[in-house]
Amino acid sequence: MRCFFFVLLTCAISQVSAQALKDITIDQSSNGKVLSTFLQDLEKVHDIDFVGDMNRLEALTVQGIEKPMRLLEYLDSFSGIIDVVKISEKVIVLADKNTLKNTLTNTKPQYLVLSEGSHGSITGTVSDAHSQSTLTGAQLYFPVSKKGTAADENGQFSISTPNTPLVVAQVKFAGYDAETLIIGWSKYATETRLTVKLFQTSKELEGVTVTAERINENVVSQISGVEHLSIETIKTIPTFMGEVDPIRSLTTLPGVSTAGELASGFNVRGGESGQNLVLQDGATIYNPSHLFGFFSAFNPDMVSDITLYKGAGPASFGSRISSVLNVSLKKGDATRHSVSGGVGPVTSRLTVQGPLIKNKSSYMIGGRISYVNWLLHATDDIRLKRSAANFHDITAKVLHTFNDKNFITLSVYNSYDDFRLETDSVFSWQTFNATLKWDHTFSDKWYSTVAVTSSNYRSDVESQDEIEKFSYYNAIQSFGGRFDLTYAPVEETKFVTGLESTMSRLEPGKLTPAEESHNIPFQDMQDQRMIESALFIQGDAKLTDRLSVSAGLRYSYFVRLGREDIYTYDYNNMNGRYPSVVDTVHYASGAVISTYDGLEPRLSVRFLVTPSASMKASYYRGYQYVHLISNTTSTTPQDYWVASGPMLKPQMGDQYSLGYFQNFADNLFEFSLEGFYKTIDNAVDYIEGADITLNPILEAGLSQGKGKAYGGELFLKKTRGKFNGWLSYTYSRSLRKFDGQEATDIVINEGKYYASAFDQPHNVSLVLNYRVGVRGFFATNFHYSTGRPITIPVSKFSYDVYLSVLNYSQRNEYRIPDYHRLDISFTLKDRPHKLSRYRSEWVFSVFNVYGRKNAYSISFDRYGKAKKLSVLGSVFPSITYNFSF
Amino acid sequence: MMKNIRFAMVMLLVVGCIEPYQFKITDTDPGIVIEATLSDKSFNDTKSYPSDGRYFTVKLSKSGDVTNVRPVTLSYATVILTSDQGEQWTYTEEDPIKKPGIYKLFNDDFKAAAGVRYKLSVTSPDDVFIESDWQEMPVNAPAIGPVTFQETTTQRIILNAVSDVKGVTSKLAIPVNETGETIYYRWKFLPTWLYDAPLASTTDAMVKFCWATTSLYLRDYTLQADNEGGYNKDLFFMDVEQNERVLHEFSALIEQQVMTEDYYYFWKEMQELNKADGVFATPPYNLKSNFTSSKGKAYGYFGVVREQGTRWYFNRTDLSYSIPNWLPEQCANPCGPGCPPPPCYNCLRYEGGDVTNVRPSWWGR
Repeated sequence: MRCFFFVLLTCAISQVSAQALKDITIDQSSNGKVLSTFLQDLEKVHDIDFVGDMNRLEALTVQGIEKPMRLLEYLDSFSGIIDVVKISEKVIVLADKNTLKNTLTNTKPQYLVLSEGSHGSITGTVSDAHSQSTLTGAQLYFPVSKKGTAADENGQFSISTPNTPLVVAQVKFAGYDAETLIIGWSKYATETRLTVKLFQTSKELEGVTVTAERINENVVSQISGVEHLSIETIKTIPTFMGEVDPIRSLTTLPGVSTAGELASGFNVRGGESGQNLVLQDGATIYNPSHLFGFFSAFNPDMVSDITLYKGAGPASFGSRISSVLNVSLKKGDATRHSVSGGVGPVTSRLTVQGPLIKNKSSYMIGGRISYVNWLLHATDDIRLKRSAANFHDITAKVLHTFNDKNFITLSVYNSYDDFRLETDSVFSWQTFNATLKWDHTFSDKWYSTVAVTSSNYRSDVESQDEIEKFSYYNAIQSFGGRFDLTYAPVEETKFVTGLESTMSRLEPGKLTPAEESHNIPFQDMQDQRMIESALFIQGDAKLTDRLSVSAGLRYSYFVRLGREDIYTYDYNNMNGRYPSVVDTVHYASGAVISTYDGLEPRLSVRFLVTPSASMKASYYRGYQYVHLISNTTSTTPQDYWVASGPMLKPQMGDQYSLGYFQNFADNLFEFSLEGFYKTIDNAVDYIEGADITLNPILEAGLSQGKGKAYGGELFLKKTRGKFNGWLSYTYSRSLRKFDGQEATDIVINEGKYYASAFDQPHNVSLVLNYRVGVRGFFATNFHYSTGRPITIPVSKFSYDVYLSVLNYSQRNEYRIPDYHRLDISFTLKDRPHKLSRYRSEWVFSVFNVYGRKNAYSISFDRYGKAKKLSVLGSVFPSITYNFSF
Repeated sequence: MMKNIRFAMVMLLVVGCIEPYQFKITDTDPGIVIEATLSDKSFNDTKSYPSDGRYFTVKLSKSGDVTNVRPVTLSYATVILTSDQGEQWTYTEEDPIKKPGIYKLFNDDFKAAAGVRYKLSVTSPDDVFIESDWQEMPVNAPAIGPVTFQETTTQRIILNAVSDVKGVTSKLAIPVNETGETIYYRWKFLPTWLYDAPLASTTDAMVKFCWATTSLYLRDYTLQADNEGGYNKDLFFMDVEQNERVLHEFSALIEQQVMTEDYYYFWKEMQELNKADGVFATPPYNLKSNFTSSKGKAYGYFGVVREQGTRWYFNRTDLSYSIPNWLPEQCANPCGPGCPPPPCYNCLRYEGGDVTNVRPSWWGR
């Protein structure tokens, strides 16, 4: 019988507790009770949960109930002082308006309640409300505690929460409407992760900021020398012919300069173009340019964000000593199909995305194509009729989610260029990259990534000359894999360890004459094979409230393998300018020719002087085992890669930096001043008179010496408001010294330091943006830099049968004219329709407003007379129409 | 209108603009340029090639800025050749007015001796002293081989069209190299040919037949670093159609120099620097010099070579195919005022080279 009563009682309680919130009624008997106590009683009886700071309600009592009424109806009577929000049938949020009013913005807050187990530390994802693509760099900020974090490349974040029942959070991302969240925790809530969806800006262009990270990211970030740009920010900078160019956008930031006018190669803190590691979804892009640098290789519609590490970067990156440019591609929308694109005067682009399996798999594929040729061929000018320029690229990414802990992505990139300009030679180059990546989450604190990549680049020259017809190419093929394991126990503490290995085959150059051409000899430089591997560990930790450290160690190992003939040289017995070849050793396929290895420590320390000011110091060491050989200052498709070996040692770079970062007026203004000093061992330069193209003894024509670069970077930015923008100024020097300390080294410029080809002491960028009304956006970009060094003929003489023998200056003794340019653009967005998926905008831009004839290159005829080529020596207006739906 | 706008836009985009640019050169002091070669063949020896003979010559000039067109010669300098045996020879400026900067060693029998080192010194009128390194001729120098020719065809762009051009390639037999050392050859050429003024009377020998000589035709030299020998080396190509030089007898004095490796690369680099090679151009560099100067810069190279010479004759009748003498018909064609051109009736008016109506003593096969 006892058992029977117990069962009845249990059933009765269950029935009561199963009562939905909307059905709960109260009566006059509750009058006089303290409100908080009253609610706690209800929780017990009805198995419901009131989320909020009950202490704030202690001053309130229940009163005025004259007849039975619904609980929700009664609580509404407190709406003047309490926000009452029903989350579910068991959970209701009660937020004290007086407490919240200081932290809320004008936007209406969203209330979210998570599972009680997630209180103390929350994880989540920020994504685009329309496309569902994750928003890398979106910021989550707690205004009360002044803490925040930024979403990683997968749009995910993790942050510890204040120990309060309700937390106000602001979520922002450039180009999107900000969201205010009021987050609570309940035992009845099932969601353990925060899912935030942001809508693209419709009312105002709030997010025109340089960084799309924490509001004070520049001050509190642990790693110095990092530049982060979201694609939305990149799109705000005026463009050439309407084509958004991520790399050119980077050059508006301190410490980053261009190799030449419109060259997509770039130089970081006095480094060479070939010392930058350019990654797109983990695969190396060896030539990041289209049309000889007129446009960059990255499809702006496909790019999620861009991070540039000035230096070797964290220990998980390696193989280049000047910088790492990490480009992340967006993920496709797994819920619905959408299209975006743009139509410009010389290029157009189209991107399509959508689900393959709804909510599990998605695709995103985008392409760009140029159509300059029909313009060329429509003219009557015979030179233009004989000229041609084409490029196209296709970028695709497929995502498949197995479950909330496993997903894979496959990224593919294919590009092709060809270019003929009043010559009989057709220059073409193509890239094919692929990345397959598996992300696995073990727990909230442990996750891993396994990736395999393939990077392929080939550059061709087809001479159509009737007399000297030939085909030439150089190429590099790489295949690699890597594993990253991450442990993030608490906020601002993260450890990453992993390993990677890449096999590469390099073809430095092969020239094949046409069958009927007897004037050109067949030439083939030997293929080179190499494996580069590394183990790394990186730890980011907050030691105290003020002090945090990011430290890493990388061990890299390089091996060069046969099949190859390796020459031995006698530098005491010169053949002209080259040392004599005294022996040839044949290495069979797979035989080890030479090995190198090295430890690469990375350390970055941040000290918060005040909550809005910090000092940062860093040291990076990196090894580079491949070398980009170029006989020009600007990056060109004919540049080729060679591997380190018995004669050519790896380059080693050490960089030291010290900076002061300060934000003013509630992060409205950012200021930074950073100095750096960099040394390079085994820097490569060519010896006097060396033939560095198709030279079978190329290494004999190269010499290795020392390099150093130093400078200061000043950055001032207004982050928001109708009028915003930034000013960056860099003073830097980049010097080389080849003093012949080793027998195999050749003396250049009498063994004294001389300016490298990338030495540009003064570099200024000014970006100003002004919002016009709710749909218009005006942007300007001014850039100035010192002309780059050049070796020029300073005199001439006649000798024997030659009327003019040129006598050149010391290497890089002179400079081409200084460079400056002003661009403007005006963007007009369509009228916002929240319910419409169609978005469009017109971009009117003027490149080189005052028509400055900047030098693209300066060449000399055989008599030494200089000619300045200004490729873009005029004003270039353009109109571009962008759309998405 | 749209077409013009489109054209202008594309022109700007693709062609850009090229305009002269002038650097402010900070180092404008001219250097002294010295051209000097010494060989083991004296004036009298060279006459046996056969030729008119040549004295050892030193040419002095000054470097100029890149906007300067004409080289500036250096006169009234003192040029002395010194041997490591303590002997000295002085060069004499041939004619400071008509041939300034040309200094010759007027000694019919002097020649460089094997095993002896030489150096050249120049003292300019303003007391700048320039001196070369010690130089010595190479040990080995094979005899110059026979010269033959091969009928060949090359392609040239004529009036925007590619045309086959018939010609001959002269070839020199390179002896087998059994020395085990690299032999560095340089060949230079001095052509002479018989010019027949078609409209001149056959009885007027003074204006009918002339011999023209010029260093401007076949002006480039040929180089070869040889390790094996035993092959025919291409020396030069000469077209045979529409080339008045080969209508009658053509001759080329072929001078072979065997030199040191450094001297060889001096010539090789000079040749490479003067080749237009846009796509694969070598980064700029300066030629090496073995002169040192007490003040300012000195350019050039003093070399001591082993020299041999031979004379090669060619006539269009040597060809396996027929080449008509097109010149008489061309001179006979009416062409308006000033016709026929003077060279048609007076060979001394021929401007293809230095012309003489005196038959060279060595002329004829």
